Amino acid sequence: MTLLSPWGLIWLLAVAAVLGVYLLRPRSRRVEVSSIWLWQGVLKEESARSWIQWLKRHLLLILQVLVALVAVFLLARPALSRTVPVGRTVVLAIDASEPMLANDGNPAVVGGATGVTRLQEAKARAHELIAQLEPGDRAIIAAMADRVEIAAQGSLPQDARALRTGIDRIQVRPAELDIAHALHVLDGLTQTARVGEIVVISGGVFDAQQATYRPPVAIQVLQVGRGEADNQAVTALSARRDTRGDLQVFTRVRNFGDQPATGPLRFTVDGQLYHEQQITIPPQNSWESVLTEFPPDAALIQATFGRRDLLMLDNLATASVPSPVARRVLLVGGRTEQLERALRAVPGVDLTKQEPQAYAPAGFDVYVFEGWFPPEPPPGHWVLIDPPTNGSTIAVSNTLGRRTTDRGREINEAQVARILPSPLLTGVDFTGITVTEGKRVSLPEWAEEVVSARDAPLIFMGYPRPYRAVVYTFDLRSTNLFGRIGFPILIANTINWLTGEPVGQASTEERTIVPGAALQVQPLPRATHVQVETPDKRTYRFDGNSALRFLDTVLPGAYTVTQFAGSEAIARRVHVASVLQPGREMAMGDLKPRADAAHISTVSGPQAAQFLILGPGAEPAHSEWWRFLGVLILGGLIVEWWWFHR
Amino acid sequence: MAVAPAAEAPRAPTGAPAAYRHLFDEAFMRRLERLQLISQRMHGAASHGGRRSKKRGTSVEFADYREYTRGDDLRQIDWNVYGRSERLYVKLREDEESLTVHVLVDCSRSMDFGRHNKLAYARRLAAALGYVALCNQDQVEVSGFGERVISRLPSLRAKAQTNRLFTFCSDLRPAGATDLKAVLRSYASMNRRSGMAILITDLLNPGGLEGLASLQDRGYEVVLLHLLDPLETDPEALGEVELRDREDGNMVRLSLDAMTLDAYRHRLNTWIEETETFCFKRQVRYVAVSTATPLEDLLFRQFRARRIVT
Repeated sequence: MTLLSPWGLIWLLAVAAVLGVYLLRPRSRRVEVSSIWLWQGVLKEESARSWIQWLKRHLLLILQVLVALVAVFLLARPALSRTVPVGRTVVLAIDASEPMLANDGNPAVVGGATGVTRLQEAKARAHELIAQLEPGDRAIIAAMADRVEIAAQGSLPQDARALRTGIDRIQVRPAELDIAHALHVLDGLTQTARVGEIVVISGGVFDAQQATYRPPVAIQVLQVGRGEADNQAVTALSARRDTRGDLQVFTRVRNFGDQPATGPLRFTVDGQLYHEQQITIPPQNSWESVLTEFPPDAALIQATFGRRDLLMLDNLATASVPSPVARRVLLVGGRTEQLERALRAVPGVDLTKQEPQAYAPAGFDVYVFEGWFPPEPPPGHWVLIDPPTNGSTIAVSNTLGRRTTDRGREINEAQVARILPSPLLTGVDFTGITVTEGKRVSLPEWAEEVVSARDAPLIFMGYPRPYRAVVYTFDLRSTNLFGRIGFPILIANTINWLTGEPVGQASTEERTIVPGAALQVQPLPRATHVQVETPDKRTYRFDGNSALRFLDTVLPGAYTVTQFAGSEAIARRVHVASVLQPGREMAMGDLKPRADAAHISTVSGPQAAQFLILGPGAEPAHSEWWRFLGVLILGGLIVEWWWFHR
Repeated sequence: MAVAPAAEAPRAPTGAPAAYRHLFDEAFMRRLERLQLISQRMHGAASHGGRRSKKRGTSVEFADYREYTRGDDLRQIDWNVYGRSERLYVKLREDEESLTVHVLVDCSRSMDFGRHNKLAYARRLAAALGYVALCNQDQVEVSGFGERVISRLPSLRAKAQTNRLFTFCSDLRPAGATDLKAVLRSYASMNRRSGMAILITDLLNPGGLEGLASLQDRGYEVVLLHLLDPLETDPEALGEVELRDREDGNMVRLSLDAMTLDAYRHRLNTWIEETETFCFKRQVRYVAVSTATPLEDLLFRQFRARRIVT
């Protein structure tokens, strides 16, 4: 028994006060009787039951003291300390990062043959832990990689099947484990739990130093895999053409193991073996080379290091030979040579120039109108420079330029006032750009500002369905853009954004995605359909009249997207799904568990898997006696009242 | 006609002696004059009075017949009997004599107690009974006693001595303790003439009843008027009390509660019953008198009912 408010005992002074009042009260009254002779007999009877008389004589005092003592005891809040069973919330956080594909898992746990991955072992461990949970416990199955996904959650025993299914569904994501982010998410999952516990099941390949925050619950780390480091990876494979147009292929193979690795390195070009050589890589070292003399029409190059190691997936790398996407651009009413040159400088742009009188809108991907706009919007993406006062889809209300204010001050209404983040301005420094004259237009509902004067847009972009559009509300000649290095970049960004090409990146560069990530395709206006070919040679066909997101990118390798205008292939782009994220190849190829991985644990001592969950859920509780004591006090007061008035 | 409460001074008629004013009013006294003490026995008397005597005398009350012998007064021969039986019989007539009424008033300190003071009640009761006796040509002797006889009113014979009677009764004062047995024995031995002894006491003297035998042995007809005050029959005190004896100043500590008071009342009732039984056996007329009872009710109703007066 404990006293929750021991200071309440100070009220014992009140008991002393009761005693004091009793002692100070007037003693027995003196009553005169005619004779005590008759009372003598009564006195004898009373003496015979003296202890009863004593009790009766002092009963009020005894009751008052008892009531006071019980009241003081009540104020001190006596309570029985005990533990009450409470359902636990156990989060089984399974590492689903790319290193979990390492095949050094413990076969004994899985009950299978060799070649068990760490993830398989982790799932088997998770199943064991689920079996340890007791009725009333709640489990959350989370898959951790670069983000945390909840695979399943539920209470035992009714949701056991769903939990096990959730465990089985966990797949590796081609990403590193962001343990700091994961712990924050796991904290949120356990915040409402009365008794929370997190079991991190991981191969240990993560940077524990990043995890400076620990959720205020028990965290345990269950490491899976034997912790081997024998892995080699093709960490770099890129192809580019030199100034002469010859193909150069850069290759780097990294040995993350502690022993030298010797094996064949094979190159295939468009699926055909082109070159093979035996290489030996010292431990913790790399082999690099630049190979030339590849076929000039090569489109897809793959490099494979043939030695068996922990993770064969990263022994394969794919590179596409960059080739620009052909885009047909029509320039109508071109006023300046600078704009024409800038358009022609955009890779893949096939520029055609027409006068407004000869405007024939057919077969172009982008229409650039300068100082003129056709009565009907064109059948493709369009750019409007210096909108005309009449006859344009853009309503011009006035002109922007220099004027004198009421106070006699001269101002330039077309001066750049706001520059907003926009893909059009990627790589473009708009500071210092002056616009001396422009058109005052109202921003259409479909548009968003890119650059604005004080009270009117100067450049805006948007989606006037079904195509995209960019509007420059000023004459390029009334600016100093021509003299700036950013002008051709601005034009290239404009054409690339309109045609769905990456902005701020040369369209000839290779596009790399991580497996599983969406592959976004913005078909050209001319395209009638789009075909996607996966690394395992499956093809998907889509309509070409709208943007699409291709999601079946689980397999690493090349995804070829071809746009057709009828039967003619008008654009072809290769997207490479790489296991190793660009820039993180070195970190992701190293499958050796980090030394400090176990430091995120907040429960000390080694834990066997079967005892990992911390026993039955219980929490300390106090059972206070105030009801019982309250009834006791009330009863005492009632008896006292009755005794006093009887 | 109402009797004034014992604790209050009664209203006396105009011109009444001073002693009257302390005891009774005129109307009450007129009512008393119509009462007569009932003696259950005939006592030998030294003087003629209004009561039958053992001696045959010359009163008009017929007593018996006896045959005529020489020397008898011829006037006493019943000629009617002679006519029927031709034998001479002489009518015997009772000799009328006066009764000596001894009123003994307990003047101990225990009598000076009560919601209606017992001694004050006893004074008036003694005065009333004495007055009744005087009105019936009885001799009256009143004594106040404690451990002994402390005051004594010599024999009164005539109604004209009422004032002395009342003055004596009014002057009775509480003094000392009680030794009823010794007092009664002493009283019996020093009086030559027996009679009716009316003992007014609270009997708060263990063994005091034994003294009644002394009176009876001397030929006294004893009437015991046992005074009890409501404070004695139904004590009011509750809680922690120190009871102080009125007579000797001794004290006892008691915790008075309902149970204790019940025990007291039980003991009191037992004592009264024992006293009554004792008196019944000894042919002592016993009346337990509560001082809360108005004197008028006591004299004119209860005493009549108990054949003390008629």
